[in-house]
Amino acid sequence: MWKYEKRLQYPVNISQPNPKMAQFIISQYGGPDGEMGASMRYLSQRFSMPYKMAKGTLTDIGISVAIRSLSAPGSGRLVLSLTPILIVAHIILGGSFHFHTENRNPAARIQPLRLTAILLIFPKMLSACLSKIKNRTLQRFS
Amino acid sequence: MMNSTCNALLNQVYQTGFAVDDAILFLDTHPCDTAALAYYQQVRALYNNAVQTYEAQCGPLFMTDVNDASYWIWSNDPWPWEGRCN
Repeated sequence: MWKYEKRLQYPVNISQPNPKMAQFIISQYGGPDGEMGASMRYLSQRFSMPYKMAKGTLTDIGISVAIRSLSAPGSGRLVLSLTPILIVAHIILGGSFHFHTENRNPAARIQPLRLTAILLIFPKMLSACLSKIKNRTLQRFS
Repeated sequence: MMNSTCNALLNQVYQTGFAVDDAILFLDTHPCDTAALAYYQQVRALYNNAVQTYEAQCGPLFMTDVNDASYWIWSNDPWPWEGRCN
């Protein structure tokens, strides 16, 4: 069962509220190809995952993606809660942060395959890759 | 791993946890109801106690309650809802 804490994953102060941007981002959470859908894919794939390490990871990423979505809009003003490392994991595992409500993301269907490959075959490569993309993501969101 | 003691303890967590969830949903729409607040305090204490007892004997229920310094026990099999078809 899921619990939530009364805080954001990452402290964000919006200096300039932007309703248009808020609309875009909220569609990325709950829209037809949004985060909630991605979350459900991680979680449903989790149940057929034979490797316990990958199973735990799918579970934890699945709930993170969903909970991040839930903690987004706050009293008329746009509040974001993004943990860079989760964004990175999400992109690597086939998610996307583009506004693609019309073109579905085909990578979403091969998450377990990629995840298994990354976790079991390329752990070194993964950690190098993670820190590289984390820096890039930090730059983009700072 | 899931022996009968743990099953019984987990049952306590299920029951008290359900009561807490129920109280929370009621209080969301009745914030001034002192009887409901008292009920919330009461079942929350039972729930915290049940969680503590379970975790001491059977392993963590929350990711943040993992205490092992040498091994990440969280993703170990079986998960509580697995292997019950008997």
